[in-house]
Amino acid sequence: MFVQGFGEILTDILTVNPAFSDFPSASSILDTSNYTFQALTFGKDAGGFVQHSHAVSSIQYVNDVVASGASSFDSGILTVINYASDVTNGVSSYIPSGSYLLFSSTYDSVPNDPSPLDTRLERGSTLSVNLSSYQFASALPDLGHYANPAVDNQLSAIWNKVGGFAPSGGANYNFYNKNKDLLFNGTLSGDFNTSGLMDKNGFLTVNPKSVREITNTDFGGGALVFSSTGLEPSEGKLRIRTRTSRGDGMSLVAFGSVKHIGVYCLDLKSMLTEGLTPPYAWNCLNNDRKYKLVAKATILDNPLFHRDLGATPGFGTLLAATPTIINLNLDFK
Amino acid sequence: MIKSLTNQMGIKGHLTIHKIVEGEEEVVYDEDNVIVSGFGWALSHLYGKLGSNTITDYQIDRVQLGVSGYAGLQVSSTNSLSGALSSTTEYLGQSTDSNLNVVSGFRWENDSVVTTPQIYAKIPFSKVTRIDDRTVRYTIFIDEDSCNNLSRPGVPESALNEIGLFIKNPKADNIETSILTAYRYFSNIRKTSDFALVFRWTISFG
Repeated sequence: MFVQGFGEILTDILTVNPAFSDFPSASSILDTSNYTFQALTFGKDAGGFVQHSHAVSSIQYVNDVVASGASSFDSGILTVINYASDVTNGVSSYIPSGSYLLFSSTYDSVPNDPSPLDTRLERGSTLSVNLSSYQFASALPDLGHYANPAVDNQLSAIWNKVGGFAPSGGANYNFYNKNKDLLFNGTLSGDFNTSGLMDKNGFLTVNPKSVREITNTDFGGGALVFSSTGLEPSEGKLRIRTRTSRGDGMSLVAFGSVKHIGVYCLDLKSMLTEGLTPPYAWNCLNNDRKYKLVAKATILDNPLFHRDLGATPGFGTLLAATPTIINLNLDFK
Repeated sequence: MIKSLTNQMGIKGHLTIHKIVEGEEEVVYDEDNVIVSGFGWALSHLYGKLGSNTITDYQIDRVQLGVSGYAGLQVSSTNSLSGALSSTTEYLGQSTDSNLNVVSGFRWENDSVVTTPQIYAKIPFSKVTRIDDRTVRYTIFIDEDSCNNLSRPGVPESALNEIGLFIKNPKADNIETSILTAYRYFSNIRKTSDFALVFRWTISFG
């Protein structure tokens, strides 16, 4: 659904002063990239930000030693507890509904209904209050969607609790059954961070290529805006596509999966007010772009659904090897 | 099924027409209008990066008036006026006193360029008003010296009865090629030098 932010962008487009073209220092304000889709985010139910792999023990550990003012929780290892491990074909898969059921008395796992008035994916706080004892707790973001602490120098040590995207370098995870018996462990690496496509606030950049140049598997530059059969620009339609693969899909499902997708343009007025002038280059480690939500989609099913196949674990093998493609179809007419 | 942008956001237009006689302004028309599919076509080219790289090429900066409008054209698939004024003379008359600035260009229709030259009246940027964060108003002033005493074969006293707003040049064509984005048919107004007309066209994005 398009939200009111898109109406604001359209109004900006129709009312930006053409006279800027006469001033070399300001003419870049008229570049279309200031008004087109520039980022995607992933979100979920607000209540889920203290559940799933966000949940922490009450004691901080560093290298398995209880520590005060520690810089990491659970030794920096992603902890995955499958509370539905008795489900057929589910012992080695992460089934979010197991957590919904077990904690249903306190956990509302339903995401916000999308509203055209939304300015963020989830209206409630998505702050991980479990982490308030962390020494850099004030740096914890309340974004309305998943952050990407792996590239945040204050939060990277607790990426395994903040969620939701795996670092690039091969992080460790432990996978437990409902009785908290360790079933297996492994490592996971996220493609978004390996390719430098996402900033610390979870904004996945959009591939700047045009629909004419792009292929529908060209994910190396970010999320895609492209056309496909039945979704041609000649008909006023486009498709936005993103892919969660390898550690990205694994970590996202471990933190409670994806229930919202957000699409953003630049918040040009906000940046100009702060003295940030275009062009705005993409830099995942030092991103000074500010974004405005223009469209969102809310999903009640689990797009990262997986199950074991015979002796093959769903989480560590099948999900790790099978990218998940998420498409958003747009009709501008 | 995908819900369209105009339905999702409740995009709507509203047109009022004012007749000005000796400084006195009278509302002669006040109705909603149709946002046509050309708006979505232009946006899909902007967001698909298939068109101009300059945002002003996606602005509504021109208008056409016509004499053959009818209610059946008030549908999203409309891509042209039925009887647009087709010459500079029809807009400006024989005098040099008209305030209108008219330009010639082509027109997009069903994803193709119609190369029959079209005449458009430009909307000065000073007449484009941001009402609030999601509302824009276009003021089109047809002075006493413009669009007067129109005639067409078989209709010696033709009346203005349709108007369309156009996006400037979304694909940055060398010959500016515009696309219809909003249309309205209205009751006949036989324009003469006795009065001026003001069209105030408001478009709201939700």
